[in-house]
Amino acid sequence: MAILIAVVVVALGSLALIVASGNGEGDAEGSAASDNDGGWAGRILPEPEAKPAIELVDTDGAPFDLRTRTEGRLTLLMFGYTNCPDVCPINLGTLSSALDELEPTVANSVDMVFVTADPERDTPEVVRTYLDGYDSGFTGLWGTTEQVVEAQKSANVPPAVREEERPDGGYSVGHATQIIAYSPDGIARIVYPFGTRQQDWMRDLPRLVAGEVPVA
Amino acid sequence: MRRVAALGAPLVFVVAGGTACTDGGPAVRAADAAVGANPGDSAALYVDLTAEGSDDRLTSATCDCARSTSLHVTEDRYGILLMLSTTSIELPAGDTVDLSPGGSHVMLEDLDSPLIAGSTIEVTLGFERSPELLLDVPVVALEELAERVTAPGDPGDGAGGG
Repeated sequence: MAILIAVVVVALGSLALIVASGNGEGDAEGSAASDNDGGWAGRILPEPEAKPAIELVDTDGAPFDLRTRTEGRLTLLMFGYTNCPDVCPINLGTLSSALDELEPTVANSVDMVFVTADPERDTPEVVRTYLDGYDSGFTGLWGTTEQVVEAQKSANVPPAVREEERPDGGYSVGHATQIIAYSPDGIARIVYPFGTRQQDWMRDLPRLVAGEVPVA
Repeated sequence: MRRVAALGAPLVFVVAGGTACTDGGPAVRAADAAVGANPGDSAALYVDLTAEGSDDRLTSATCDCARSTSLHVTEDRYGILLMLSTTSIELPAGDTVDLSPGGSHVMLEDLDSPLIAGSTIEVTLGFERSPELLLDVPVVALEELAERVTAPGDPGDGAGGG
């Protein structure tokens, strides 16, 4: 016999979660960020790293020299793929939401560069459509598998791994999840791990754009 | 099948008329289900699951919004996050298993249309022992999901890793 069941939902649990983790600037608790003496939300690198000499193709199919095209600007670099259900959407969506909230003078001084780690499926056109869903100002780069592997190595991230193909032909791509921040002087001193919150970005980006040097 | 609006936690089940549901069989409780407002063709469903009474396994997920679904576990292997397909996710009795960003999740692939924040999607979860659960899953802004990441990637010794 079927039993009619009514369901009572108590939403206080999720509300409490939002309140506890969203109380804003300067709050290290509930933040993805490391807590360091400089008050930076990201994680300070033990050794600074120069912006890599990456030469790939942009979403218009034109050559793109990372160093030349982003010279003198705060440059955020991430590797991912458009079929990514988990890490990439949260990284890109959270950054995009932070840029929307920041002063235009700050937001317009940030170059976000997304390099596909799945060049077989992610054509430049696919990458463009994908990024436009987040921010049409984001730069998308494509290259051959060999070029993309070299790009990851030069950025000191482990190359992505293509998972075994499923019966339906789909596959996942394992990849590094952090966003690397190269200061306007072309040197990365800080990275932003997966889980960096909107308020973390809003705290650090104005300082990075202004040329402030992250130190622990 | 139980229909559950998985907006918050905890969930309380009662039969019509106000008597607590105590049929004695295995059951899985779901809380804090969410999916991101992902503009792409795929998305991940996150939810906290608690098997009550005895061990169970999450074995399937279906949604009319997606051409296919799969269960994923995630491993951090030498600095890259690997999503591995799996046939089931263990739910030890009494423990709450968090399907969360960067961890185990239900992958929705080939979405019919972009997911819009503020809307809901219907997802049916199947278990080895317990009855199916039909969840009304809220679509939330992606920045809200960043708040649910409990173990951010470790950048390691260099820019690499994560």
